[in-house]
Amino acid sequence: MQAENAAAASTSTSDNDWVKLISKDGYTFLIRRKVAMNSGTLKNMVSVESNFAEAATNTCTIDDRGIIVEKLCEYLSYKNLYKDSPPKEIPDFLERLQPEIALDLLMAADYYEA
Amino acid sequence: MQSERPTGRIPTLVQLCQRVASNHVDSIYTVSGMRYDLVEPILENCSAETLLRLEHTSPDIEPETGELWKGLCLRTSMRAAQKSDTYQGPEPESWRDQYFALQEMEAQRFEELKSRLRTIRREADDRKKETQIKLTDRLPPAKRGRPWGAAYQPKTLLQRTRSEAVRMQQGIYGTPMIPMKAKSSRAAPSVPMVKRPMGSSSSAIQSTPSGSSAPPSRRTGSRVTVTTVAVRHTPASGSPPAMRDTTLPSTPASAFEMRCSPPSMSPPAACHSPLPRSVIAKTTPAKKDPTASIFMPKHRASSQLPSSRNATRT
Repeated sequence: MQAENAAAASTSTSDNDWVKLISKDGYTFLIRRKVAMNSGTLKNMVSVESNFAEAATNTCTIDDRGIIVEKLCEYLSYKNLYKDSPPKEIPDFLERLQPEIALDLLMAADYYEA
Repeated sequence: MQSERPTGRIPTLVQLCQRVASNHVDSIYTVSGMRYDLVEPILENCSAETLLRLEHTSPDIEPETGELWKGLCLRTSMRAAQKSDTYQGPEPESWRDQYFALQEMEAQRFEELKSRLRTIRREADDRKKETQIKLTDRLPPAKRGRPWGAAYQPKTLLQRTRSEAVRMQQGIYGTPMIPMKAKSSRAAPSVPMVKRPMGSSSSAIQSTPSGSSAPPSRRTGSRVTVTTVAVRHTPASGSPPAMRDTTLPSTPASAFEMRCSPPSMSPPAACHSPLPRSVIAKTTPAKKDPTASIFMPKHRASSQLPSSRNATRT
């Protein structure tokens, strides 16, 4: 049974497992667990083995503005998508960063180890 | 479960953000509240003015900016870089102050160079202006056309021919030599023998036969004496010119001897020429006689030729 549970848990992490991120100004973002794993901090927060409350509900509250969280999720998806492809095919993410949010995003990125 | 992140393939979000911020560092108002190690790469690329400004708005980074100022000093001033290589003592307390001191020195040197350049330029300009064409209302100082006070007398024909002959002999470039046509005989008024002590040449007319085969011997030291010749009015009349290097056929040698006075011979010897001259006149073959024009003046202006061509010697 435990093996089944473990198996069920492992299959559920593959594609259908979603993590909810809530920004401090009330925006909610849903990202796949796989994507969230690209962030070291998030990974720890929603990891099944951890004791954090977030792990049970798969929900994280992020102490940042919605724009920041959105950009963060965007980056995590980008990274997840291209992390295994050869360098020539990776598009540039720099252009998608607006200078106005650069500093805040920098702080968030550092915190979430993105 | 998580696959290994390939190292260095995708830049981290931290790095990307730092790069964007560096590109727009002038728009950053403050960096206070941020960890210094995050901000440092951004500040490394900014100018001195920006760094100063950010220090004012973000006082918490001030203690950490020493290295940044040092970098600025070394970058902007070559001399400081050289000095620091050999500098053994303790580092300056405040690199920031050092930087601004260096800036002052650089500014001073720059000013010096500028002023020096300005003076050099001005001098060059002045020199140039002197040689330029200037517009003016005044007349330039009149040249002395003639020495003032010298009495003007028209040069007589004699004087003119004399000076001409001298010029020709000396080979003065541009002495006008008009090849004379073989006009019929024309006797010039008798020209007395003139011997002027002028170096190696005696004043004389050097006759230029028109179209003759002989080039005028301008450069030879031949002494040609002026003699009056009674030349018959025939194309064939006349004797060959009195030139030593002239090649004229069928002329009695005696005539030559008389006419072509050897250099050492004195002009008065030519006075005896009248006698052989008539002989010469008769023995000349019928050919276009260059001597027909022996006394034709070079210049029309000097010509006293009457309208008729039958001028003969009196």
